[in-house]
Parts: sequence; C-alpha cells; structure tokens
Amino acid sequence: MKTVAGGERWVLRLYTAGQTPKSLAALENLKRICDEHLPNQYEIEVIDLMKNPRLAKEDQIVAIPTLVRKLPDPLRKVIGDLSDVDRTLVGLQLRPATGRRP
Amino acid sequence: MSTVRVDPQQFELDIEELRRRLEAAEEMHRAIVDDELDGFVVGREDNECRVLLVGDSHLPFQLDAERERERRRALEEADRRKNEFMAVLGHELRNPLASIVNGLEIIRRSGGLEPHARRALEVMARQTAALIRLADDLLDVNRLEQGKVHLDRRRIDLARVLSDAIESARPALDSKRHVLEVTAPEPVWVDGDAVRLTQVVLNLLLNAARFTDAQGSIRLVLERAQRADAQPVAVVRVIDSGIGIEPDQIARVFEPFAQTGPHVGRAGAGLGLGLAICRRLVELHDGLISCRSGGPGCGTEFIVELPAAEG
Repeated sequence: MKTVAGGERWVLRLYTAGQTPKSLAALENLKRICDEHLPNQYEIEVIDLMKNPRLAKEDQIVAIPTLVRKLPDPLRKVIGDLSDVDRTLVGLQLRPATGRRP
Repeated sequence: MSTVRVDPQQFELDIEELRRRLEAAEEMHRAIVDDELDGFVVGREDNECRVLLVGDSHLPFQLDAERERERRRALEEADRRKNEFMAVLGHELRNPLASIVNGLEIIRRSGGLEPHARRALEVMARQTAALIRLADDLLDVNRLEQGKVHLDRRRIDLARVLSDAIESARPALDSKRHVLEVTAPEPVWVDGDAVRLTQVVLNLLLNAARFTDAQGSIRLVLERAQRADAQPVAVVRVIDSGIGIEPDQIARVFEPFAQTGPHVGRAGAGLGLGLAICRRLVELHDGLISCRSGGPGCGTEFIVELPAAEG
C-alpha cells in the first residue's frame, strides 16, 4: 500500500458531462487510484455539468472531465479521463513530479 | 526615456502566475491531443455557463440525427417519385382517352350502324367515361397531395351544390333503380368552391350507388347544426342501405387506394381514390368528413361538416 498522506481526509470533486464514456472512465479510474493510494480516507463528489452547467463556476471549470482536489489544501486540478495513472498521481500530489515534460 | 520600475516581489508572483497558466495550457493541449475530454464549459456574457460537447461524446447523437435525416431524405425522395409517377400516369392515361372519346363521337354521328354495333359503341363510351374519371381522380389526388389545388371560394348555397351533384349522379342512380330521398329544408350557406364541393357530394352519391344493391335506398340530408364549441356548421349526410363497412376498415376508407373487404372486385369499384379526394377537398374547406357503418350489410353513412356562413 503506497499511502502518501497520513490518514488525512481527501475530498475530491469530479466534474462530468452526463454518462459519456469518458466521464464514466474518469470516475472508474479515480476510484481505482483512490482505493489503492487513499483507502478509506477519500470521498468523491460527482457533479454533472450537463444537468447544471452553472456549477462550473465555483471551481472555474473549463474542460470536462476535470478532477478537483478540494482537500487537502492547496486546491489542485487534473483534466482528462485520468487514464494516465502517473500523471494523475502527480497532479494530485500523491507522487512527486519526475522532471518536466518536453 | 522613461524607466519602468519593477517590484521584485511582484515580479516573482507574476512570473509564477504566468508559469501556472502556461502549465494549464500545456495540460489542456495534452488532454485534447490524447482525446481525453468530453467537452468544454463556455462562459457567456450573461454570466451563465454552457457545456459544449465535442468529438466522440457527441457521436451517438450525431449518428441518430444523421440517420434520421437520411430516412427523411429517402421518404421525401420516394414521395417525389410517387407524385411524378402519378402525374405521368394520369397524363398518359388521360390524353389518349380524349382522342378515343372524339373517335367514338365521330362514329356515332356518322350513323348507319347495325344495332349490335351501336350497343358496342355505347359500352365503349361508358367504359371510356369511367376510365376518364379514373385518370382525373389520379391527377386530382396527385395535385391535392402536392398542394396544387386552389379553391375558388365564394358564398354559395349548398342546396345548389346538392342538386348539381344529384343531376350528375342521376344515370348511376337510375340504372340500379335506387330510391333517392333528399332532405334540404332551407338554404345553407358556406364559403366554398362550388365545383369542388359538387365533386365531393357527387363522389359520395356515386359511392353510395355503387355499394348499394338495386332498388336500395339512398338518403341525402342537408342541415345546419352547431358544433360542440357553438360554431355553426353545414352538414351533408349521405346515408345508404348498402353493403356497409367492417368496423376495422372504417378508419382506412379515406386513404388513397383503400379498397378492402367486401368492396374489392365489385364491378366499377375503381382505385379507391374518390373518398381520399373527398377528404382532402373537405379539409381544404376547413371541414371534416367522417364515416359510420353498422357493419357489413347494415349500410353506410358519410357526414361532411363545413363551417357555415351567413346568407
């Protein structure tokens, strides 16, 4: 188990666009990552912007899907379907970045 | 020369902000290239947000819409071809018939025919007239379907329309010794095309004559009535004691080419266009046409309702 954060509570928010394949994939990928790295210490809130696009304002969402780390501070965002596990881990600061992308 | 003062602390913050934005842009670019996005949220001037889906997320919907468009195109094309075919057929039938009629008339006038030849000539004339009516019906249906029929609407008394129709139907009625009973107590005015409305009543009368056995009775009733919404209407009823219609066929009688049940194969049954033409003509007059029957052997009633006008 590669738990990084020592028992603190993680609050994640996933902005989606209905039941599209990419939105569903993003949720699946997120759950798998969290179960492995943050077992029993995370909660995921899914916000469907197709139903209520106004909710995009709160976290200034421009792309869908977007994952927002509400807690712990600071706020972090990862866009896309989270299929690239390494990139998602770096984005959530569950793993340090290994050098810059070209 | 002016110098720009730079606050080193602010400069640090600005550079940091710039770096963050560049990274976000780079991240966005990567997600787009990797096809990981469903779409974007677009802010509008009224401060509302809108979701724009892109690429595959849209695909099932696009396919449906495309399929629907394709289907409609095919239907329209089929409809266009059918109308074209009907028009060509109508003319190809109609034009030769005119010269046949002329030829028959010339032979008849030249005289000196044997009795059996004269009888044959009468049969030919009658059959040719039936064919002409059929071709005219085809052309009519076609023109009605394409919305090419325009009414010449005037204030007219339906009683006149009825008597014109009766006069034209007289030979058909007399040939089977039908009893025609007409009830038209007062002038009933409508704003309509007299020729077209006569065509409707004539069609209904010929229809009644055709499907009623010899010496049966046909009633023609004209009256003023009120609809449920208090609108005054002129009502024409054609009631026969004929072969009737199966209950499940009643809804179909106004469809073009609807010849079903006991009607099929009856002498002179035609193509089943008459009632379809009646319905379209009545509807062009903002009226309603309906049909009632007690079932096979129990006769049929056709009811035409037109908005009534004041005399």
